[in-house]
Amino acid sequence: MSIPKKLHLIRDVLDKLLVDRDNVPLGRVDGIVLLIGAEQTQPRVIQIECAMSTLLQRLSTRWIRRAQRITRRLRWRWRAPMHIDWSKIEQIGRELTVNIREEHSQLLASERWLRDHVIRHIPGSGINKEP
Amino acid sequence: MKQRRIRAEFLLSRTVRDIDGRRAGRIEEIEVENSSQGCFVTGFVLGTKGLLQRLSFRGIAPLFIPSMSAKRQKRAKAVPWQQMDLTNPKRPRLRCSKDDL
Repeated sequence: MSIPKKLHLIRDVLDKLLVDRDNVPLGRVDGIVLLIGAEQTQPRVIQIECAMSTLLQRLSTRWIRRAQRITRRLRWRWRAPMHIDWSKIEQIGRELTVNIREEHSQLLASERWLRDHVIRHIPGSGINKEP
Repeated sequence: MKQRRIRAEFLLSRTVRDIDGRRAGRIEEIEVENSSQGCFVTGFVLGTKGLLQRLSFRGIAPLFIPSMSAKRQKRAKAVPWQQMDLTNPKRPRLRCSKDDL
C-alpha cells in the first residue's frame, strides 16, 4: 500500500501514528503545514509536524503560554516542533510510514536519553551497560 | 500575496462566510490529491457532511443519531480551493455567493 491518490487530510493524516521503515513507533502527527501562495495558486501540503507545543496550541493558545511559562521556570528547554517533509511519507494506512530511521530521528531523542541514562542502569533492564 | 505557511488543523471548525457576509458553514474536512508533484488541496468540506467524513461514520451515523440525517447532509457543501479565500486564515471567506456552491 502506498499513498492513496485522494485523501481526507484530517481523517486520514492528523493524529495518526507515525512509524519508521522498521515499524518503530515515532509519535503522532500533531499538525499539518499548508503552503498558501498567490491568489490562484493551489494550496499545497508541505510538512507534517510533531510536537507537544503544536498539540497544546490545538487545545488552546492559553495552554501553550502556561506550558512555556512552566518550562521556563523549571529551566527546561522547550523543544522546537519536528517537521517531516510530505515527500518522506511512504505509506498511509492505519499508520503513517515515513522514510526515516529511528536512530537518525530527533523524534525519539528524549526516549533515547532516558534509555541511556536511566533504564540502562536498572538491573534486569535487558540493556547492555556497554554501548 | 507572499507565500505563507498555515496549519491545516487551525482551519478546522472556522466559520466560513460568503462574499455577502452570510454564514456558509464551518470547515470540517480538507480534501487533498496526491501526485508526483506533491500533495495539493482540492477542496474544503463545510458543514455536517465534513464532520461525518472526518469521524468516518457517514453511512451509519443517521441510524444512531437521527439529527445527522440526509437532510443535513444535503445542506453540506464541498468548496473547491479556487472559491476559498484564505488571506486571513482566522476568517476564511468564499469568493462567491453561498447559493452558487
